[in-house]
This record gives sequence, C-alpha cells and structure tokens, in this order.
Amino acid sequence: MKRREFLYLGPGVCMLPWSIPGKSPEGQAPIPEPHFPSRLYQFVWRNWELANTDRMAAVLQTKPAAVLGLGASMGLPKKRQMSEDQLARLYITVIRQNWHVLPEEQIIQLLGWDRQRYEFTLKEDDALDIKLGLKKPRCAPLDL
Amino acid sequence: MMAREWQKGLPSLEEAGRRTAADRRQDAARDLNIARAAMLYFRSVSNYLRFHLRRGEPTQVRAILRDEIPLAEQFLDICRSDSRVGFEASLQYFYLPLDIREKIVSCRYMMEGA
Repeated sequence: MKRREFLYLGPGVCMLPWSIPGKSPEGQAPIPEPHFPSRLYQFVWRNWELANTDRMAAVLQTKPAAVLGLGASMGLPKKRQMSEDQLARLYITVIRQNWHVLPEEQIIQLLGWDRQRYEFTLKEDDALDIKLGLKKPRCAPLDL
Repeated sequence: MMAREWQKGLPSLEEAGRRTAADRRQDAARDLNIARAAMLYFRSVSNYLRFHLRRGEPTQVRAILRDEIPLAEQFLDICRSDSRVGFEASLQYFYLPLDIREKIVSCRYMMEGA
C-alpha cells in the first residue's frame, strides 16, 4: 500500500468521496469525479462552504451571480459569507479540496496568497505536500 | 467487528444519559453523539475497505453502497448538530456538511453504475 492510500484511510474517511484514491502517478491527471456534471460544478460544490462568492467568481473570471446560479442549480444551501478568521483557518482544507480541481495559480488566487506563501505552506506546514501526494495533479485552468 | 462491539456499548451510554441530572443532560447527549459518530466511522471504514476489495463484483458493491448511504446520512445529522465532528486532526483539514452530502451523491451515482 502506498503512503497516500494509507493516509486516505485516516480518520477523515467518513467524508471521503469513494473514488479511487492515490492511483494517479505524480503529476498526472486529476482523479475524476464523475458524479459531478463537470469540473466547474465540482469547483462550486467543493468551495461553497470554504470561500466567498466574490473570490470564487474572480477565480472563474465571472460575476458572483453566475457562481450563485451554479450553486442554486445543484440545490446547494444559501451561500454564507465567511469571516476573515474563518478563511484564515480553512487554508489546508481549501488546498486539499482543490488539489484535483484547480491548477496551482487558481488555488493561490482562491486563497488570496502569493506563490511564495503557497510553496512555503506546502513544504513546511507539517509536510502538507506529502499528505497531498507530493506532485500536483495537472489541472487545466478553469473558467465559466 | 470494531463497529459491532462499539455498538453494543451505545445503549448503556443512552441509559446513562437518561439518568444524568437535568443540568448535565445536554452534555451527556453531546457525548452520546460523539460515540455514535465513532460507531458510524468504524462501520464506514469497514465498508470502505470491503468496497475496494470487492471492486468488480457489482452485487457486492451495491450491497456495500446500500449499507453506506444511511451511515453517511446519520453522520451528516451529527456533523450538522455538533461542529466538533468535522475536524480531521491528523491531517488538519475540516470536513463540512457538503462533503458528506457529496459522499452520498457519489455513492448513489456508483449504485446506478454498479
């Protein structure tokens, strides 16, 4: 068993989507999530409780109303505005949830960081990059 | 087995909650919810492993998914009522109600295709 497969068996297993984890060799295609109509819908769902609408819209180069419309079309609950304090505590979750969804530049944009902070966090925040599988899956830029 | 043995203890904890003084009953209920979340977690881990072992066996996979969906629904209720359930301490990320819902959607999707 690979380390990444082992990590997927950790205490968070209750929330994991049941696709095949850890099968993508480093730097290859992201894990497909065919229960979403497209990666765009996956992005909106995955970040609905993690990021504010305006930031999500900026990442997609669209308007907030378009993001809200996508969320509504999936029956998502009313979008909540996250406080700065909440956002500051969610960065690991944001990176993890978007690891197989967005390219690095868009993850950085979603976080509101710069590349230096992003790379430092991956390397120094309790081996976050290792937990995520070391090499970022290749994700094409996402827009609406 | 872990889940089965754990479940045996839940009625005792429920009874203890009923016997708890009124001013502590809310704390007891929250403790009971944590114990229930742990039981659901143990069952889910078991299902997760069996799911991967049985891939390619549609009947088995469907049975596992059929068992897993109500577990996830129960887990979602607990997550929504107690924010302590939702922080994955060893990997330090949060899982939120929509993550549990996604799991349910994913399981239903796979049941249709299994």
